[in-house]
Amino acid sequence: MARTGPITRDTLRSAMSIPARVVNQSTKTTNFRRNATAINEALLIGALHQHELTEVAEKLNEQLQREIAERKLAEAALQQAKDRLAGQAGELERLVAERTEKLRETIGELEAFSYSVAHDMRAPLRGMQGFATILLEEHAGQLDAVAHSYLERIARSAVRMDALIEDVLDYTRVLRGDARLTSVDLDRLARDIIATYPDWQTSKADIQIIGTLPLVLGHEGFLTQCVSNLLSNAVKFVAPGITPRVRIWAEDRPTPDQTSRHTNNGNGNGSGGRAGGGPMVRVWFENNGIGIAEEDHDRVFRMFERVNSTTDFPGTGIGLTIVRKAVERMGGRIDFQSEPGKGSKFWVELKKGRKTP
Amino acid sequence: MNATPILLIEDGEDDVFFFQHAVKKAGIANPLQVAKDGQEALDYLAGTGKFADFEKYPPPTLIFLDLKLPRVMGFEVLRRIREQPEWRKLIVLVLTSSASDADMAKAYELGANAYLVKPPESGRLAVILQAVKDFWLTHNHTPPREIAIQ
Repeated sequence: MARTGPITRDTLRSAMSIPARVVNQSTKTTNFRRNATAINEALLIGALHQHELTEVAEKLNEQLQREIAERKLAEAALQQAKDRLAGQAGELERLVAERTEKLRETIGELEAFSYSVAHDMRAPLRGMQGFATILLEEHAGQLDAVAHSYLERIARSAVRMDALIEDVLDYTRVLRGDARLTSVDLDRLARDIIATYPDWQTSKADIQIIGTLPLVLGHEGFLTQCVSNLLSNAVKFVAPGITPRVRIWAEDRPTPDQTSRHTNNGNGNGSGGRAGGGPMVRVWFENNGIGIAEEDHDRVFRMFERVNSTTDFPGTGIGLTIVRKAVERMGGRIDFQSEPGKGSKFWVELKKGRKTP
Repeated sequence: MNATPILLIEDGEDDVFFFQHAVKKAGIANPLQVAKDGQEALDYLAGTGKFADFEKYPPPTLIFLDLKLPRVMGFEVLRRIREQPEWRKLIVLVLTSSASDADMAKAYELGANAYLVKPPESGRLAVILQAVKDFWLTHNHTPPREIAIQ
């Protein structure tokens, strides 16, 4: 576009005659200014925005810091709680260990006590009874009737004390003995027991098992205590001149009934085993004895309680306490129905046993 | 010649007295030797100390063993008797106050030949000894002597 040739008026004019360019130029400048302002404005706005953003970010930051601090506090509190809990658990464990140790000690002392009762306390009684008997047998000539009767009383007292000791020992055995339950053939056990006692033979008593008694979930020693105590009571508590008559039979009890009074009446660590459910069996012991009055119903199971005088019916008053404790420890129940003069029907409810191969 | 003795291991004076009394009542002819505690019993069997005289203290044909004894307890005596080859075949009848299952089980575990409980009535001790005489001293054949003792 370089022009060659001399610049003339025309050319000048023609040059001047292009006002559009000039306008254009000036518009550009204006535009430029306007743009700069806009940019400035934009920059300003941007800066403002940035400022705002910074503020927001700072606020957020602060909030975050606060939250972190709060969380840290919470964590510390949690840790503290955990520590306290662990401490308490440790304390609890220590307490349990301490109590267990004490309990073990008590049980040990109890065992030592029973051992001493079994081994030592009976010797003096044998002495009393033995020397009294020797006097009666070998020096009878030097004694009058009164002296004779006194010596007999000494001997009887000693024997009675020995029976008490034996029963208390039986009771402690039932109370704390190992009570692992297995299936026991109650029929064989009962027949064996009946065969063992001279007083229960057909000449002296009429004891019969009706049908076959089932297998029960029990403990042989405990069951022996139950059967022999129930039978000896049945044979003992009869009116004079009457032959004891006892009938034993069993019936299935698929659903346990809760009406008995002698189930969980606060006598310690018994009857826990019932919860397991399963079929039950009720074994009846019916006798033709003197019977028990309604008002004596609860007394018969209490230790050392006796409904009748020792002169009429000798005994220690522990037998049925042993039976009840034994039944409870086998997860069973015991009660009776009776009327004075019409005999009694005792029943023992136990879990059914299973045939083991 | 004396019959072989019965050895009673018993610390209670009264119980020794009643035993002697019941032995007479039961008509047992064997002489009765008494050891007053477990150690004496072991000394008797070993023929040591005051029991060194073999003629006077020959090995027993039967031993009655009380369980609760001073010095060496009854179970320990029984254990040592069963450990010693020369004594192992001796017949040991436990005679104790205790009818506890634990004592009975342990006695048989350690090799007692029988377990008798001292009866509360002295008259019954004679009955027990009568039965012991009939069974252990009459019908039963005790181990040959030369094997039973050192």
